[in-house]
Amino acid sequence: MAAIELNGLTKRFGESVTALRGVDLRVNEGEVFGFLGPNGAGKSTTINILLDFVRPTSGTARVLGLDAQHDSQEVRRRTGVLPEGYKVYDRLTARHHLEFVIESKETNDDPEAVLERVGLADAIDRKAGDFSKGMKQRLTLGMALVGDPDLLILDEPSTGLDPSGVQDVRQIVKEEASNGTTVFFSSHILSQVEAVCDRVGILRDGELVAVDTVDGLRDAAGTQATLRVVADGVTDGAIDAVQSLSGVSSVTFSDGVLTASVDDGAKMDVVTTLEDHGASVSDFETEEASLEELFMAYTGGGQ
Amino acid sequence: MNRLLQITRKDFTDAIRDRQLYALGALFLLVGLGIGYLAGSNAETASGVDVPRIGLGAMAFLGSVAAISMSYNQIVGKRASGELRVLLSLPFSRTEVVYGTFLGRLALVVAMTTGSIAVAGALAAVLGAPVSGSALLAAIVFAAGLMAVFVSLSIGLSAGSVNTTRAAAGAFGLFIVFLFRLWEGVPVAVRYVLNGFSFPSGPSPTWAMVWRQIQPIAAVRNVIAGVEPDLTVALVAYAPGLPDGEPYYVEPWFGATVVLAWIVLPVTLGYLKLRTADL
Repeated sequence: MAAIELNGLTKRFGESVTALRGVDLRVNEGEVFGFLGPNGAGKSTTINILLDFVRPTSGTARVLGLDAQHDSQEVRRRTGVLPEGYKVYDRLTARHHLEFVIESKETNDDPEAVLERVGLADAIDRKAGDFSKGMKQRLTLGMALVGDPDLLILDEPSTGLDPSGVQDVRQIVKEEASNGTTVFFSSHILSQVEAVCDRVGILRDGELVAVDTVDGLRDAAGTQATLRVVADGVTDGAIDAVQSLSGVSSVTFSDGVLTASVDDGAKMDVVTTLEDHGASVSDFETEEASLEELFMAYTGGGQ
Repeated sequence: MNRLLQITRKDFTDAIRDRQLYALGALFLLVGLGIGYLAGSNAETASGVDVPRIGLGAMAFLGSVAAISMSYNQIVGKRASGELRVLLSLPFSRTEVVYGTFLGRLALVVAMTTGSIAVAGALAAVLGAPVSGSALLAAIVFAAGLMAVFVSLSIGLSAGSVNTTRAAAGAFGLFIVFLFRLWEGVPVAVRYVLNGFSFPSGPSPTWAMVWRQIQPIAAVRNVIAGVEPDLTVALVAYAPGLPDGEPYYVEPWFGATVVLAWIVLPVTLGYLKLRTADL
């Protein structure tokens, strides 16, 4: 069974704004899925449809095998949500927050144990209004974990967090995933999902432009590695010869370093071609395309 | 049902944690003490219905103002702040949120108005003034009924508004229409237009008479007339007079039906608007 299944999901706001255009997506049970895209791509709209805050214009969304609209209450009973912005009740203590969630989900979790997991046990009886942003986020993460959810939805979970907070979120995502919980993790920063996600989907202008593993995406994008060769005696003829090799592009040469974008397998051709043209190669290195570049390639960012 | 009451309890306890509401509570207490003191200091001439009557009259205004101002932002404000999404990411339904909030606010406003009238009665009795127990009870019950109408109107408004500005404008409208009796101007305006933009002469047609009597405060007054007639004077400032001949639409049973509709329909219409809204 799919934990999340979107079919032709489309959402228009009014006449002019189209947030989602026919999104098809299947997230498997037990998977950690990274939902990526720049701000405004439609990530929040998708999550809002999963939770029935927003109704699709057309298409369907199923969560945990249930209709996201008609069975929304049951969906939310079995789902833990870390909403964007992690709003808390200033006048309530951390314990009150958890008790409220526990009662609504009709479970018997121990508030203290939950706060222990998110590293907030020592603040259990303090009012959330006095919490730092990081503590508020830990609290809302704790609330999301109540009732051992089958699905955990994290909407931009790292916004405004310090590095140790980001690390803790990752740790908890891993723990939950190893218990069989499906995790749906939205972010506009690729490096945050890269480390934890089994697969990622990239959303751009309301369309899902790619769904794959991180490695798969890298292959599919066909992004080339960058090769740097340190060599003496490089002639213009040598550069032209390198340029004309198949799988090699963007060749530049300056200060004794030749730089080129190369496909897998073409890199030794570059080195041998240079040597054939009388250059002496003293060192070379390749650098794979960073995921950030890959992400940019898909989302059209940075253009 | 459990989750509905959980929302109700939360709404009520949120208010108790809100210090600003303590000032409002103190005002209700002071008004109650004032009424009780006044009746007590005129103990020889006071009648047993004085305290209930004045108490009900005071609550019709003060209670309604409090009901509107404490309720109109209660759902749309959460919608604007994002709190509504937090609640609805838990297994609450929109039905539970709207009706639970309605019950929570109602409990709060009823506690204040009931407390105020009860304090007035108790102080008057202690000071030796006569206080009719049945009239006091009737005043409390009818004040509560009136509060239910205004909380329903305000929560319905709050649930049906897309932003806090509109809800605030609507709340102001509620004051004008019901407490400042703009409601009764509607038939006049309609007849003016129907009459070719000149003021009509002759007696009001039946529909205009019915319109006046289905105003919620008039409807409450018409119910009171059948139960504790001495108390009707309390609402004289907010309801039109009674027509001659006691037609059906001023009968207590008709009034009770109208009051019930005013309690059930506004909050339900607001809920229906929210039910289909994108949050």
